[in-house]
This record gives sequence, C-alpha cells and structure tokens, in this order.
Amino acid sequence: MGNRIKGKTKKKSIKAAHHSGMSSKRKLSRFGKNLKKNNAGLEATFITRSAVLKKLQITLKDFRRLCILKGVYPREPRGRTPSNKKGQVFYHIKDVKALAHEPLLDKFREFRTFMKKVRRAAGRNEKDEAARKDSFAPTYTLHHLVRERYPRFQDALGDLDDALALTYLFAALPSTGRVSAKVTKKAQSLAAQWGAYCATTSSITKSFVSVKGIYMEANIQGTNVCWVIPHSYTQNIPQDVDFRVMTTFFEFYETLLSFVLYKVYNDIGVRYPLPVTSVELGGSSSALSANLHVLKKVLNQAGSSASNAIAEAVEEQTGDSEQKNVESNVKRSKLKTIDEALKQVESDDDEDMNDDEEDVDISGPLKDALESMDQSRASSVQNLSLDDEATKRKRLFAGLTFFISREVPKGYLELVCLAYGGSVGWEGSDSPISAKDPSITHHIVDRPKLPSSYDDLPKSREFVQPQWLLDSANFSFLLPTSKYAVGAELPPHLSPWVDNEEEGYTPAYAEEIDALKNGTILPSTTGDVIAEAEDEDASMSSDDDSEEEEIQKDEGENDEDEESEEEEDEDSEALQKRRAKRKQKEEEEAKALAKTMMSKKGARLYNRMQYGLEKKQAAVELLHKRRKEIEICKGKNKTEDGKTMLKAKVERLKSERRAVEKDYENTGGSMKKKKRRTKK
Amino acid sequence: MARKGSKKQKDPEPVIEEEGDDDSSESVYDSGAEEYEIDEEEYDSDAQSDSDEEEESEDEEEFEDQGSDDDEDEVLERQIKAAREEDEDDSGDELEIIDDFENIPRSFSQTKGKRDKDGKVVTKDDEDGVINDPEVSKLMHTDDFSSDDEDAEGEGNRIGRVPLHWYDEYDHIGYDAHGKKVVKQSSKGAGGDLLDQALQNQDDLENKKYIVHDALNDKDVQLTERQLEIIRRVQAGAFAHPEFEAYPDHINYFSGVDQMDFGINGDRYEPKARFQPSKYEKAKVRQMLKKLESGAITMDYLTGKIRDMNDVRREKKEGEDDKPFMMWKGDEEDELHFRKGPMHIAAPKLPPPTHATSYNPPDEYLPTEEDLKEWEDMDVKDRPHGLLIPKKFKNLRSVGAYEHAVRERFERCLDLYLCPRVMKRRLNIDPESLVPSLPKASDLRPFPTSKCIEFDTPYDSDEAPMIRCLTVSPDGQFLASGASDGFVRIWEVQTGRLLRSWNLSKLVSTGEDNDDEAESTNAGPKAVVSLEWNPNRSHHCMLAAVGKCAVVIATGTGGTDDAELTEALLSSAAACSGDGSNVKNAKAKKAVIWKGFDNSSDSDPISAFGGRCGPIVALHTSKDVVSAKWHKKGDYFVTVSPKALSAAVLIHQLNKAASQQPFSKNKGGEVQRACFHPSKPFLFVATKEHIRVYHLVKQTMVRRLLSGCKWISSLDIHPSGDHIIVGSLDRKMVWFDLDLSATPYKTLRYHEKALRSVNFHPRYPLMASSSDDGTVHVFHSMVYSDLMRNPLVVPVKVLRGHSVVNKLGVIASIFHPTQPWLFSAGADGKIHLYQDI
Repeated sequence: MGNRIKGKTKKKSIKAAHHSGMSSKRKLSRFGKNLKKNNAGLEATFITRSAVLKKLQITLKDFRRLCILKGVYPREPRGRTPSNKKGQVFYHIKDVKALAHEPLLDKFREFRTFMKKVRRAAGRNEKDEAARKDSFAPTYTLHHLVRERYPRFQDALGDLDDALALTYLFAALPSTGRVSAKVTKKAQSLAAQWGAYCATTSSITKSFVSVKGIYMEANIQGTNVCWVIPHSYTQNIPQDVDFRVMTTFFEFYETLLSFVLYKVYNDIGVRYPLPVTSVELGGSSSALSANLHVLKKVLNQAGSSASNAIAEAVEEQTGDSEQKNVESNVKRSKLKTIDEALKQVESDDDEDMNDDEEDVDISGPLKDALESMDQSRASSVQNLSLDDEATKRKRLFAGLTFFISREVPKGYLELVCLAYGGSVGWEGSDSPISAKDPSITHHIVDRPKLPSSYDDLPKSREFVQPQWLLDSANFSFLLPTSKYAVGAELPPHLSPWVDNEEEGYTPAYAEEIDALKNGTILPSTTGDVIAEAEDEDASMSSDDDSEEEEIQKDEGENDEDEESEEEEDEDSEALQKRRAKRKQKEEEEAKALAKTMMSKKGARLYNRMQYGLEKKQAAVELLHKRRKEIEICKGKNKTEDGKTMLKAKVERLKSERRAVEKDYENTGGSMKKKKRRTKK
Repeated sequence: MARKGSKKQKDPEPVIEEEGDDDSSESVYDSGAEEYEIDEEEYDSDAQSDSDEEEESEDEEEFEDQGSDDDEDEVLERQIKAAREEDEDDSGDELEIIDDFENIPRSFSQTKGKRDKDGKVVTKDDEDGVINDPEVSKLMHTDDFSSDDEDAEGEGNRIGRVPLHWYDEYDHIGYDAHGKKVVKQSSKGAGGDLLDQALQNQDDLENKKYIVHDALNDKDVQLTERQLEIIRRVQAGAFAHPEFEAYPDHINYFSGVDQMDFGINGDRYEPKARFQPSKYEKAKVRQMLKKLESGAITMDYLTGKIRDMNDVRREKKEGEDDKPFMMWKGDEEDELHFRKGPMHIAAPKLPPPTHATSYNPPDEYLPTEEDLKEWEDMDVKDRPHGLLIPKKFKNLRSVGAYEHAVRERFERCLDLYLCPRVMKRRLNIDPESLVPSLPKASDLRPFPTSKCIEFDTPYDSDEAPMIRCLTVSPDGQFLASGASDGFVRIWEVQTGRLLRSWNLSKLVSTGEDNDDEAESTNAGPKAVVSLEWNPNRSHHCMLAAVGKCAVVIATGTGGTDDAELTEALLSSAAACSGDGSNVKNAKAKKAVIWKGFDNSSDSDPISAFGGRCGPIVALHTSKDVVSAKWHKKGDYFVTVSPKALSAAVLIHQLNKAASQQPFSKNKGGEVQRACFHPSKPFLFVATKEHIRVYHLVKQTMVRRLLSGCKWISSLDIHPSGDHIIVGSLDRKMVWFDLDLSATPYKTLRYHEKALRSVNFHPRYPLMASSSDDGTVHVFHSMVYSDLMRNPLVVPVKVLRGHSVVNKLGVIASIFHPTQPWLFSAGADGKIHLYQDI
C-alpha cells in the first residue's frame, strides 16, 4: 500500500487477463463475431470416410456395400480444401445421415451376429448345427432402394446403362469360379428378358460391333439406353479384379432391372416374370429365343382372350395380394361375374347398338376391366402401340427373312433383325424356318467361301456377311449387298453414335452412303484428291513465306489504291476480290485489337477455349491427311507396287506439279509462287 | 470247559436272553452283564429311584409294553441315546475284539429296508408289517441308556484306571463298590493251561460262542449277537447301531396347519384376482392369435410341430426373394429434385463408341507405328482410347473376346462408388462472345493508319544510330529527333528533308571540365535521350537532354517577331558563363551550372529571319539527365537526373536563367519522369512505381498515384490535365483518371514487350503507345467533359514497320500537334510518319 502513489492507476497483475481496451461493442464492430467451430464450411458439410466409419460403427466392407446399394458417392467439396485435408475423400454429411437411417444397416448388423453363430458352430466342428443355422441367414430386399434412388421411371431408365452392361457381362462369364452359377443364371435370364422386350417393341435404335463388344442402344419411352454385349467367347478374368464389388453392384442392378422389366412388360400388357419353363429353355438354342417365343405366345393370347386382360385388370385393382387365399377366391368369383356381365353386355350391344353405354348397368370394376381390355387388345402383337420412330424402324426389314448360319453369333443379330421387322431362322431344331425355305431373302454367312452343302439351297436368297445387317440398320437403308458378299473385303463399320458434322470429319464410307441415299453417286475420288493434295501442299509450303510479303504489299497497296482506282475499274473483278480481302483483313485486325481489350480472366478463358478448338481441329486435320495419304497410296498401289507410301506420294506430287507448270507456261502466264521463290 | 462253565455262572443274563425266541418278545433285549436299561418314563418321573433299582423282570415287562407302544418320540430318543452309549462303550475294547470276528456272516448288509424302532425291517410296501425273522430280531436292540453305570450292584472291580499288574502278586484284583476284595476267581486264568484254552476256544467257535476276557473283573464275557453286529459295523465303517437311521424320512410335524395364518394380516380375505382368469395369459393368447392371423406363426408352431418359425420362413424365401411389382405408377414427382440436402449428381455416362473402336474402322483411324510407340509410353488414362488399341479385323469371325472387358467394367464400378463427384458447369458459350464488341474503328476516324514518310538518318558507322527521342514544333512544320550518336536533327515534316543537325554530345563534352574529357571521348558519343520543342508558339527553341546536360537549342524557325521574343527569352541564359552566378538558390547552385555556348557553333537559321539557331546554353548537372520537359508556357522546364538523389528533379526558368531544387530529399526511389500540369501549378513526379503530384505554390504533395507497375518508363498528361497515362517496362499501359481515384482506371496489357513511350494527341482524341515489340498501338481515347462518363478507350490501329534491333523496337513516338499523324522512331534508326489515309 505504501508504494502506491496517489493519482496513478494501479498496475494490473501480469496474471490478469489481457484486455484489449475496447468495449465489447467496439470489438464486435471491429473484429466481427467469433465463429463457432463446425458450424459452417467444410467441417460442417463434409465428413471424411474414416469419420463416417466411426460414426456409423460399421466396417469398411459393410460401408462400401452400403454405398453401392444406396448409391452414395463421395463429393468434391466446393472451393479450396485446407492443406491438411488434401487428398481425402469426403462424403456429404447429409448423405451419411441418410445412411445411418437405412434399414439395411440393421440387416448388416443382424447378419454379423448371425455369422458369429454360424462360425461358432463351425468352429466347434458341429457341421449339422452350422448347416441348420445357415438356413436362418437374415435376408433383405432392395426394392425400397430402387424406389428411393429412382422416384420416377424415367430416372431408372436413365441409369440403366451400367446395369445392363454389368448384367450382360455376368451373363457372359463362366459360372464356375469367382461368380456363382446362380448369379450368372440370373444375369442370363434378365438379359434375355430385356432383349426379348427390345426386339418385340423394336426399340433398338443403334447397334455396332466394336472390339470391346456389341454396343446397342434402345429407345425406351423416349430415353436412350445403351449397353455393351461382350463377344460370346471366354472372357479373360484378371486376378486383381474384386468380384465382391461387382456382385454387390449386380445385386442392386438385378432388383432394379426386374422392376424396370416388370414396368415395361406391364406397359405392353404382359405379366412380367414370363412363364418360361425349363422345358422351353432347354428346347431352344438360347435363353433369348426362348423368351421371345414365350413372349410372342403370351402376346397372342392377350390379344385373343378378353377375360385374360380383365383378370389382369382386376388383379391390378386389388393390388399385389396373391398370398391371401380369401382374396383370390373373391377374384375368382368377380371374374365369373364379369364374364357373365360381359356376355350380357355383348348381347345388349347386339340388340341396341345405338344405346349409350350408360344404359348398360355395369359395375365399377367391370368398367375398368373393359377399358383395360381395350388397351390390351390394342397392344397385341399385331399392333403394339409403337411410336412413329419405332414403326419406321420396323418397316426397314419388313418382309425380309433372314437365315442365320451356324457360325454367326445369333443373339444380337436376331435381336436386330426382329427389332427392324424382319423374321429370323437359324440352324437348329427350334428354328421356325428351315434353311431350305424359299422365303429366305438373306442368308447371313461368315465364312471365307460358301461350302458346297449350300449349293442345293434355293437361289432366291443373297448371302451376306453379318455387318450388312448392322450397317443397314444404322443407316436405316438397305445397302447394296455387293460389298458385303461372302469373302469380300468389307467396307469400314462406322459407329452410329458419332455425329460426323459435329466432329467435323466424315469418313469416306459415310459420304458414299449419304450420296447413295440421295440418289447421287460420288465421282471416283482418287484423281480429285490428288489434285487437291497437291494444291494444298504447295500452298502450305508457300503460305508461311508469303504472309509477310503480303502484309507489306497490302500496306503499299493502300497508298496506291486511291490513285489507281480508275485503272482498276477495268478489271473490277480483281478489285472486288481485293476489297473483299481487305475487308476480311480489317475484320481480323479489329478482332485482334478487341482481344487486346479483354480482361485477364476473359483472355485466359478465351485462350483455353481456342486451345480446345484447335486441338479438335488438329485431330480432324490429321484424319483428313491420313485419309488422303492412304487413298493416294491405294491409287499408287494399283499401278506400281513395292514403293513406300511416302515415296509414292512425293513422286506423284512432283509429276503432277511438273505437268501443271508446263501447262501454265504454255498459256504464257507465269507461276506466281514459283516466281516468289526464285526472288528469294 | 470249566472255564466256560464258570463263565456261565457269572453271567446269567445271556442265558436268559439268548433263548428269548418267544413270539411275544418282538425285540432282542441285550444288556450284557450290565443292566442299564431304564425306561424313559421312569427316568422322567423318578430319577433317584431309578438309579438304585434292580429290576429285571420289570424291565422286561416294560420293554414288552414298549413293543406294543407306537409312540415314535420315545423310539427316536432311545435310538439317539443308544447310539451314544454304544459309541462310548465300545471304544475301549475294540482292539481285542477285532481278530475274532472275521468270519462272522454279515447279514446286516442285506437288509436294505428301513428299520423302525423295534428293529423290524420295514419295506416301503408294507409299513406296518411285523418282522418275524428271529435271526434279524436278534440283532435289533433297544437300549434304554438310562445310566452310565454298568455295574449297578457295585460288585464289579472299582479300582479305576490303574495298571492291573499291580495286583499280580495278590489274590484279588481290586475292590468292589462296597470295599470288598474282588477275588481272582480263576487264578489259573492268566497263566493257565494254554492247551485248555485252545480247546476251549475251539469249542466256543464250534458253538458259535464268542468269548472275550474281561481282565478288570477277571472274567470271560460272551459277546451277544448284537455286540458282534456292532463290531462288524464299526469295522465296516458304518454307523455302529443297526437301528440308527442316517437319513430318516422327514416327518412334517406341521402338515395341515396353515402357516400363513398368523401375523398382522393373517386373517385377511383372498384377493379377487385369485379367483379370476389371468389377464396376462389373456394378453399372451391374444398376441398369439394376432400372430396367427398375420401369419407370423402357424398352428404347427403352436402345437409344437415346428420348433422355429424361421424354418418355415426360410423355405418360403427360397421361392420368391424380391418379387417385382408395379413400382412406378406414372404420377411420381421428381423427388430427387425436391429432396433436402445435397443435390444428386448423376454419374456421367460412358462415352459412346467412336469409329476407332469399331472392329473394322476406316483406315485413317488406325494408329501408325509412331502412335503406338507414343501410346506405350503414356499412362493408360492419357491414351486416346484407353486400354483399347484400334485394330482392323477382316471379318466378324476373327474378332475374339475383348481382353479388358471385365477390367473395364470393374473400373467403371469402382468409379461409380469411389470417385468424388462434383457438379461442374460446362461453359457452353461461344468463345467469340468473350471478345468485347468495340465500336468500329472506321467510325472513329481520323487516326494514323499507314506509313507515309520515312526519315532516314544518315550515318557513317556500321549500324544506324538509335533514334531515342522525337519532338515536333508546335506549328507542326518541323520534326526534331535525338539519336544515340549524340546528334539532334531537325527535319521538315512535309518532305522528310534533313534541315539541321548538331552534335550535342561533342559540344557538351568540349564544354565540360577537363577531367571528364578523357572519359567522355572513351565512352563514345552520348545519346540524346530527351527532346522537347518549346510548347509556346512564339518561343522557337527546344530542350534536349544529353549525358549530364540539358541543352537549350534555338531552332531559328520563327519569323521576325518571334525571333525577337525568343532572343529575349534566351538572352540571359546565353550570357551565362558557367560561374553559377545566375542561380540564386543555394541548393540548386550546387546541383546545376548554366553554361552558355558561344555563337561559333550557330548555324544558319531555318527561316530567313529566324534569329539565332543552335545550342544556346547547357545546364550541367552532376548525373545523367533522362528527361527535360517544358512547362506549358514555355519558360519553365523541369529536368530529371535519377541518380542525383535530392537534386534529381530541378526546375529551371529560362527567362531568368534561374534554377531551383524543389525537393530537399529524395523520396520513393529514383525519379523516372517529371512533368508539369498543363494548366495548374502541379508537378507530376514518377518514380519507378508511383506518381506523386505536388502543388508547386503550396509546396505540398497532393496525391500519390499507385500504378501497379514495376518500372515506369514514360508518362503523359492529357491536354485537359485530368488524365494521365503511364507506360511501364513490365508491358502495362495504365490510365489514371485524376478525378476518380489514386488507382488506375484501366490497366491494359497488349504489348508483347516493354513500353517505351506513351502519348496523347494534343487535339484529337488519340493516344499511342510504342513498345519494344516493334509496334505502335493507336487508341481512340475520348475523354468526356461530363464527369459521369468514363473515358472511352478503343484500340483502333496497330502500326508496324519498325524492326527490332538488339531487342529494342520503337523507342519514341509522338503525335503531330495539329494533324492526326504519328511519328515513330525506332532502334533501327528510322523515323516513320503515319498518316490517316
């Protein structure tokens, strides 16, 4: 106390909390509010995978499965990630919350406890006990996930590509080894059902044989679905491929496909799991043809019997309730009454045609049934309600009958034939058409030459290679078969997905077919091409040199222009040309100037875009160049063989040039380009 | 035999009892030599008399009574007592007995049933049955155990526990209770005839008599059947007394009595619930019924035919696991869109196949050998077709399975669930739309468009000298250029004719002090780096910067009136002798020395009455001068010599031949350029990065402009005085609007190399910048008097024509004062005039 001097403020202890000397309000206005942690930003919206595992308390394996089934994927956080979190995988926190409420999660846990029991039994060497317990494995269904992930049918169709591709792949895999026979069998049946639907509704729009497999595209209710069918040979299965992942995917896709198929089949008035019996499966050469056969039968039946349709309608009305006997009894009785009522209605109709329908007393369900019956009648085989495109497609092979030879892979070709309205026969006991049938118009053969056994076949048919079928379908135009004859060198097989105009390059064959379609025949190209090539080459070599000169010259011309205007009137054409040229130049200059005024950001973006465009252009130009070289080489090869492509080209160019120069000199003019060169 | 006989005499009791085989006696009464059986009742009533009593007959009677009596209590107690007695009794004698009883038939073990108090074997079936077997009944015995006293009469030896050999010498063996000697009866006993004994023993065995010798009383005792039995049992480790039951049946003494019938609420009524059906059971039944109805359980389960409903369920599942149904009715909404949380990002679809992936592609799509080699070095992802290498198959049959089909599908699967997804907006814009649409250049005429006149500088050396600076006379008739060879040349604009030239470098170096001379001659000519014609139309002189000097040159271009005016202006400067007397300012005096040239260097004036023509005065400073600029009125000028620290900027007045040093300190680094405001008393001083604006009257800094450049090379002020353009060596052209802010209004970067000069046109809305890339960019730069409108800057023309020499292109450019023409001077020694054609 004694040390304190009056008037001086007391010094604070060094232990006292530091005070900024500002009031809280002032501090707030100056520094802003202290942000709470994990309230906003990356921390609050995203969660790393390891944190997810901790939160959900599941193993990584289970988490992955759950992600696959539930369709949850990591997301890239927006903006910059902090340096300590770079390279981490982030999930959205709400996705994870959805996972946490997933009933499947419980099932997984249940399964884990179940496995404990089984394992314990097995560990004690109690085999029968383990086997007994094994049958109590908790099972789960995935249809709720299908509904959740694809609320609308269109959504499901949009995501069908991968599902189909995986299904077709599994269908092609051997059932021994890493994929169980059950899975491959299921995949085969699904693939066959899908194929049968596409063929029947002729919704196949594109088909293409690639090295990777056969690509197909179908238009289902306005949505394009594309899938790959592997070539039907033994697939190479790499050791490091984890089939657990793929089977999990298939597990979901299987459910998805079954529901989609149910829907599409239902739309054409067929009850989905087609009644394909094992007898039919065994009798036919492939699952696809068995399915097709059954589908045809069912559709025919649906067209003929009304009560069948009504049964379906009633069933639909009462919902999916086959399990209960009581209701099925009710249905039966209802059906009976409906049949009776129908008879009555028909008789009534016969009696008084003019009467309104209202006069006829029919109960509600019957009305519905009648309506649905009409619908289903409309959608019988003969007149399935196809959209315009599909009917157009169906007209392509209408009236044609194909016979697929033994060595040709039947599955997808049959699909294409049927989808485009043709009818198909093949070598086999179940074929509807025998090989000797005179109605066959095209016999599809893939052999170096026709075997002698084909000699006694009727001569009315044409023998073509399988590519003819696909090309014709893709160009929607029956191509001349001469190029596709047996043993002939095939024209290139082009992808129907490529938009040549957008790409900027049209392959020669596409041009040829375009011309064929339009009724014009391209002149033989080789001569023109060579001339063009020569021209371009010459101009290319001189371009660089002449550019500067031209600039200077033009500048000089600018001065003279006005003075010599009168003189130039005489050759107004040249003047116009020059004017146009100048105008173009001016524009270019203006553009170059405008570019200087671009902002830094804009300039960068612009340059990037230009880079992309240039790259694309370069690729196209490369294609053009190669094509020319090849064509020249081919032309050369016809005359002289044994010279390399490049040499041939150079020689050709030289000779051409000499000839042209000679001609020119004869006329009295001089070669401008040549002169320039000599000047230098 | 005698011995045996004597024994029998001494022991009357066994005789009596042994033949107790009459039917009436249901039990064997065996008391041995001592009679200690005391009736319970007697014991209870009269204990005193009991001890002294001697009653054999009575005993027997009582026993018989007992036999008929069924009171179990008594039996029990007696059993207990007997057991105790026997235990004590046998303890002493056992050792002697043991040998003799080896071969006694062991009948007891066969009697399994329980024995009741009378020693009867009671089987379960026949509780009340009577045992008639005499053999068995012999074994049974009920002692009354009333007293320890074995020798009630007191006739036995009472010497206690003393060694018997004490009495060996006497004829008695002790004393009885009455003090009488107990005489050794058979003295021969101890040391008797062994043969006799053996015979005796043999006899006894034959007669099934077991006789032991009682050494204390000196008599032989025959063991009874019961005693033998006890010995056998003890030997066998069983309970000694055959009648002892180790595990008797529990007798519930309280049966039939209500145990709860006591306590506080002992007499309350039974609750009602006990008489009603159970609610719990009802609920259970209801549950079961419900389960039964729902199908969760079946009757089979309830009746126990199935152990677990899972069995049934499992069987069901096998058939139909996930049966499809109509999932989409067609009236669904786009839930994904409305769903809360992050937006769903659909996985991108795989690109469709191209021509190149065809099994039979057009030839141009096939890779060449170089392509293949290139692809080999590439990562699979970077290859144009990934794992696939386009190949041509001649026909469909030669196409095999795709090697990577499974792998590619697998990788797609991995991508689907492992790849982070992000929504990226693809810029779907036409790149041309990014280019700003500018007003048409043709609408902004006039501006210089094409080269009309080329002024060729004469030179002797191998290389043409660089033209460093240009200036045009205010009337636009003459052009002056300063070159790196130290010459200032005056040209006629219209014709391109060289009118006059002065070697300033030489003039300056001769005028300089001797010590510098050697240096200057060695270093070669000094370049004329800055040149400006006096902006005052009546003052016909110009200002040049050469080396360390600023030189005022009379051009001799004026008429008679102007010549006089010019003469008046220059007269005082021309008179300077170099002694520094003209400079009043002390600081400036140190920094600059005015030195007039004599008339000898003069040349003929260009116009007839042009007056003096030639260098008039040189202002010698300490360091190299880089810039000399006139004030608008043509009297004051400012020189800049960057290395001269505080004397870097000097302001001179030609009229009075006076100088002053405005800054006492060098601020913000080396000064690059300085110039006056056209109408206000402002001085702009540009350092490398900033431009400071000083008020000359108030002598304060008004503002500092931040250019954002690294090295300012040039500076020009719009004739209105409100806008400044700055060129920098880091390729930027910066436009400042002084009314707007201290930061640039526009920063343009269009030159490929450093900017050397920037200029405004004094009349037309034009602006030009020249650069080391050999081009001059001409801009239309309209400044509006309306303060709300920003200046319009539009590039209109790029003028080329100068070649780049030693990385230097167009070094100077200047507009014609009255025409929209532009002069440009390059490092190639050429001056071009661009006109608007």
